[in-house]
Amino acid sequence: EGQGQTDILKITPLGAGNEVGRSCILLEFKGKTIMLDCGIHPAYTGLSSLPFFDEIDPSEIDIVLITHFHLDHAASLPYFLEKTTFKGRVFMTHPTKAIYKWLISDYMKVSNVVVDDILYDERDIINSCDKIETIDYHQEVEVEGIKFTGYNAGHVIGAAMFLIEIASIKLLYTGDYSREEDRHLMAAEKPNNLYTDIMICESTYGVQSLEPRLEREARFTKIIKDIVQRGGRCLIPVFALGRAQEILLILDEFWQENLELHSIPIYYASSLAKKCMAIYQTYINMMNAKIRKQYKVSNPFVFKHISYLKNMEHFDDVGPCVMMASPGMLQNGLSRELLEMWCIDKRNGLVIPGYVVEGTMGKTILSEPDEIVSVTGAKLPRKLSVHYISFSAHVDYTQNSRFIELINPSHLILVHGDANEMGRLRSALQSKYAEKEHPMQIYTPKNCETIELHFKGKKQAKVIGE
Amino acid sequence: MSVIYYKFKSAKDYDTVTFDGISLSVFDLKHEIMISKKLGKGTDFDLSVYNAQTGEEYTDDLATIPRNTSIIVRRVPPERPGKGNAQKYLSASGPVTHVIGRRVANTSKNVPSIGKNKIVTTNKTGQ
Ligand SMILES: [Zn+2]
Ligand SMILES: [Zn+2]
Repeated sequence: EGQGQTDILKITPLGAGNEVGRSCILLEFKGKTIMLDCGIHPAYTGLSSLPFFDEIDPSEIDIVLITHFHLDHAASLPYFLEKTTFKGRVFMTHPTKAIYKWLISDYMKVSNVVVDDILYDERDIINSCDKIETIDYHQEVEVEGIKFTGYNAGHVIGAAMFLIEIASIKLLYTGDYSREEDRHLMAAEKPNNLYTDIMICESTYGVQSLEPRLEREARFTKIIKDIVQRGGRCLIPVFALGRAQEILLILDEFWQENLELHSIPIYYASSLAKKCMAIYQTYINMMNAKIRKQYKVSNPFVFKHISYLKNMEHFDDVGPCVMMASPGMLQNGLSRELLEMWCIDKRNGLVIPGYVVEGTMGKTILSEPDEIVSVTGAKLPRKLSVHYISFSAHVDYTQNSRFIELINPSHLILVHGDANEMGRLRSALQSKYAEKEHPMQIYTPKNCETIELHFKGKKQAKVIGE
Repeated sequence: MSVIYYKFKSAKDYDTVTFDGISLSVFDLKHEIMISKKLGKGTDFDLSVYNAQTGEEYTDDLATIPRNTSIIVRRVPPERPGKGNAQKYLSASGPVTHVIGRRVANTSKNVPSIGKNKIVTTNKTGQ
């Protein structure tokens, strides 16, 4: 034990610092370097959508840990593995890897149609898969003195939080997480270690409270019913995989209960639909008890009222319908095409079922503008109704502050939230912990801003600079 | 035909800019990088270029870089969100009054105002 000797732990977001998108957080301690997540920013394309990789020397990174398959956490990985000098090891859970492969190539194909500044090709994705090592929840892995364990994070199938230990300093990175059990996933679990020095936590919803799940679902299905019964088309933009499966479960059940809706088709327009079915079936044992029980009777992911659309040639746009299509933020591709087709008719409706990032059409249209700009630059009148109901399975303020309290870290670093939400969350937490004898230190670093924590011996942390 | 080699600091491989003449202004080099690497509107980052040998940054847009130089490029967060300095290099006519290097392919007029989704294809200069 180096008595009196101070070790500096550095945390630097290369993305997701005061923003949602391109999650990528660098952790440096005792000569080890870890990268947490490697995502793209959905509002940008090409190299601009990458985390700020030029801050670092990729060859110095020992390990990369990917929390889940969402593009804002995983889609820079093929670039990082194939186009930089990185030569370390990469870990993610089994379902994350299985879905990563499909989701990323789908993303690449979609962006390829619209823009020609793709970051990598099919071969890079396949090559990157060869380098990814898989882990199970609760499996402790040790790589050159770095210990880490993945825990169930809720959110999407296979999502993990990582508890990392280097030289007796413990850090928990939540990634995106939810503490609420839904139709198919378990709530995030609390790792059972006794203390945590540092927690890096998402702050997507800041101090907002989400309405209870059943109320949210009832509002969602009512809006959809209203749209189709007034003769409109209902567009629901989704990520092809992940939360879409939860929405499919809700819709199929609702249709089942409402005979009068049976004549109205629900489409799930995704070339991935068939492939993901198989993946969802494979990992049913990682879902909650409810769905595992149901699976014994019949496969809950075989839907009675939902048809898959491989492409638009198979679609007759003749009357009311519900259409789920990707991408989820209406940046381009099919969901955008349908929006541009349907926005001019006031019978039609758009229901945005998840978080939308600043700078995307999904975000822009939430303010219900009279006009929207098409991909080709034309102005289109916006007459369709717009609703936002979140099923994105992030913690709200209540869930987040309770979990932070459970973990009770000495240092809390907020990431994955826009500057305003993050600031509000920080103030709320600061006043909550103000009376404590050793108040929790809370940080909201910008991209490329380094937080330095000085650890003297074991567990005693002093902050310098802040 | 003259060449300048450049690579993003984190990237493995070098790219090239080709031009007529013996040197290229810093502004023109940044412009070529913005266009050929399709860096979009440039509002969310600053673009810095450095001499690969000396590590020295070229801070003056009017400075010239001799042919055959190797350059390191860095994309860094802007001083203020949405105010990235990279956007100024999208315009083809920089502060250069006396152009030494002449771009072969002029591309800037094609940069659409809604560049986020549709970025016009341009060939790398001289190809
Ligand atoms: Zn996510
Ligand atoms: Zn995320």
